[in-house]
Amino acid sequence: MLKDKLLNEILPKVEKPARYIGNELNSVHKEYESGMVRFVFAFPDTYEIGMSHLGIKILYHLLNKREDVVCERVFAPWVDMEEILRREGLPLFSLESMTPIADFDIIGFTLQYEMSYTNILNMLSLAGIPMDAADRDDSHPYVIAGGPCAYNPEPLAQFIDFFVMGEGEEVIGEIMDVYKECRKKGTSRQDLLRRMADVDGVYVPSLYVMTYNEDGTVRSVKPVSDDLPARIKKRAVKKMDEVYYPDNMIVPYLQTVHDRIMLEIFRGCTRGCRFCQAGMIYRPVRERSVENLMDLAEKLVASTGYDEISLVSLSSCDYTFLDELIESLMDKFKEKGIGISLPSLRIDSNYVDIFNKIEEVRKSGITLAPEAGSQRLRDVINKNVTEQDLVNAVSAAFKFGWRTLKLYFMIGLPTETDEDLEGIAELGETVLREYKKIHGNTRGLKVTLSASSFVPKPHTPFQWEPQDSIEEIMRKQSLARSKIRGQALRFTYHDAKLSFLEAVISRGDRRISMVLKRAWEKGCRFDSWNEYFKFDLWMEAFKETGIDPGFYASRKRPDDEVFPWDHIDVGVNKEFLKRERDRAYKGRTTFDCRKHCIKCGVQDLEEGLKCYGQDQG
Amino acid sequence: MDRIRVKYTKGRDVRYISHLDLMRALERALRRAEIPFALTEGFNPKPKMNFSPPLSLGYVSCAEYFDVDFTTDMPPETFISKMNDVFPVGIGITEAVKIDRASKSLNSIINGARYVIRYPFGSDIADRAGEFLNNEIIIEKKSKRGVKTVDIKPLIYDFSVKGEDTIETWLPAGSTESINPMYVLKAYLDFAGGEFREEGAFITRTEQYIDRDGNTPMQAGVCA
Repeated sequence: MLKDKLLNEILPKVEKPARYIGNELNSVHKEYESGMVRFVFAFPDTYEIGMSHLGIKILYHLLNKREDVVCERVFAPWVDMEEILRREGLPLFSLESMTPIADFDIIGFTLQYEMSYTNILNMLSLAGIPMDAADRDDSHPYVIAGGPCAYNPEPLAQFIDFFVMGEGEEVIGEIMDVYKECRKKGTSRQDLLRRMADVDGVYVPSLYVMTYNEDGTVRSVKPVSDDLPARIKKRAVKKMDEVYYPDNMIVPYLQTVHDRIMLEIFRGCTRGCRFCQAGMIYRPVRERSVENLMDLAEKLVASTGYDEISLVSLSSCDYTFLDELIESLMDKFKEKGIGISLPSLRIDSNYVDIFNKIEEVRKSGITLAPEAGSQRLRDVINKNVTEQDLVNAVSAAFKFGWRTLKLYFMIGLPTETDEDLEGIAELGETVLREYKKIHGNTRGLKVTLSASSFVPKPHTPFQWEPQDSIEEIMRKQSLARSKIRGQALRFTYHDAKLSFLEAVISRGDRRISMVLKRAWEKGCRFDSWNEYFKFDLWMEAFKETGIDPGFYASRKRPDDEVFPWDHIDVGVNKEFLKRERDRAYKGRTTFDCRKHCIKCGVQDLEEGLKCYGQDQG
Repeated sequence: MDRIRVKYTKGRDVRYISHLDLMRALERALRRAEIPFALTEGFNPKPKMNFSPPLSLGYVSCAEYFDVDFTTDMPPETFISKMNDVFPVGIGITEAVKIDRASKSLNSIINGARYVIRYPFGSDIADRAGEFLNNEIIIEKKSKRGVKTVDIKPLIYDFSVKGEDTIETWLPAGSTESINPMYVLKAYLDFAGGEFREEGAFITRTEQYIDRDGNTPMQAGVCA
């Protein structure tokens, strides 16, 4: 049996065998009975990264609550395990029951990052499932995908039977129902896909035709018949307090990236940073109540035994009742040695007080994200913080005794000049001065200035923008670094080549599928892992498929260009994005829309879907 | 304020869980069971615990130990039942006793362990345990600093072959000296002319001792 062989012969030979065992606390082991739907969640990266992902935790327990569904998990096997599986001719297997992946009814991939796409192809290959959706027949599982990167589904259109747009809590159940009904009736694969297309939020790429203009841009994406929706609207839950949230979660044995209770305090963000895709696609802002969160926290502590609760959202300091929530959590859990943490912090000295309160229980470094080195550029990207905000925040942090600070920047932003880049070092110097004012010198201080490269993303005000060439990014990285001096300041930056590929894929069309497949054939996988990133192989893949990567990454798009993702409706509309882009060019900021609606369009997505604060009439 | 010494099993289901990961799992179980454990001082408070020496990845055990300090008294029986209610599959407490708070850590008192090695060496290898122990037993010991050869004969406190697939042995296992039973299996197969395949061995730690007389940690510092 596969299970015995894996447990007795294979696992002793691999690094971190606990990645593949699947009997962690709170994992669900159901006996499969005929008539049930067998679903496997597939995360195209390692166990440690996948198990840090909140979405899987929610949907795994939600699906397993249903008596007619078995939901298991699979992660990208690490290279040592892949080698053994291929050598021994063993199939990719699920964690819980060690069942071959091909035996499942539905395989659901989550798309968190473009550079994990080759892992999807690799997992399908290891599972023995035809890679191209068109080559699958009734004997094969349905390969589906969701998550933030699904909002431009086209680069994966060749491989995925259908995509799910938006939040999964409601639509996943509808998909299970349709699947069960079709299977009972013996519906053919073709007809089942047609039925799925009627589920709101489901996109079946084989039912849509993409045509191109002579210059290579997209002419249109049209459904094959009139009864199919021209645009696919994302799904969004209306009331957070009413939507399912697990009261127990799998507790991995291995230390994962986010190894703690994740308490999701709200969804969406109203800050409106113009480069940020998450800030656009997760709208509207919907908060959970303190009562609801306290109830969940108590249950999760009891069921997991974790010693840390992380308050998760896109911008946790924006939670309306943050003080109240933290006070209540500390009252309840501090004596038990359970700490509270905030994963993201905005630049605002008020929050340092809060942070300090939290840190009485748990001490770690502090991270701030000014994103750009000059006020001018911060206004362009609508990062509504001033240098004074930063000074106040770090000064408060230093007074409270912090010595480790991380500042996040982005290189290659639209309109960026060399002066803006020099501003990164200047901000670093400003931080040092603040520390000196308090401690007299810079002893013990460690400031990391970390620069990622700007990647223009679909559904953002910068979706029309070109990305700087690799050479230009590298020049800018050295320029920024050359200005940074002294022991206390450290500069780190991202690989420009990786960001270039990310830019190609994230705004790619259906032709990118060919490149992905070619790159995988050449041996690309785990591209976001430094030691396995093979840029030269990617370049060969572009060459051999006749695709010019610069067309996708480095080209400024005209206003009237049809985008490969225009048929996906995230609520925020193109007019709003254009308006924001134009304001960016003029260096004009747009205020946080929590108080006044700026008509981004998300409230028109669906009847009853309201932004926080505008839902009480 | 009590200190309790706990004997627990690490079963098949968790045999690929590392020592560090297992320690974390035990800590979390204490929290789920709402045990009134004492916390360490400092910014990162942890339950006050100490553990018996690590077990190699892939081995199972009927005799792992940890000590834990309480802030309020709790009878060992209550502790056992509360903990066994919340453990993940594969971990279970078999015994717990109240011990003197001044007693030394498990790691410093444990110096030996008994193992049962299951290995299908078959009937064609006769029992040559007696001869095996009459000679030097040279093994290659791999460590981070490289490979060195040592004679482990004086370190094999006990060794016997049971039937066609079982070896029982008592070896040093402590902070000063430690022998992995896999080395002993390999040495025996080399001597007796059998083929060694690491993945063919199934090793169980059956007890840990604080002396050569067979006293276990449960016999040290027990409160009257």
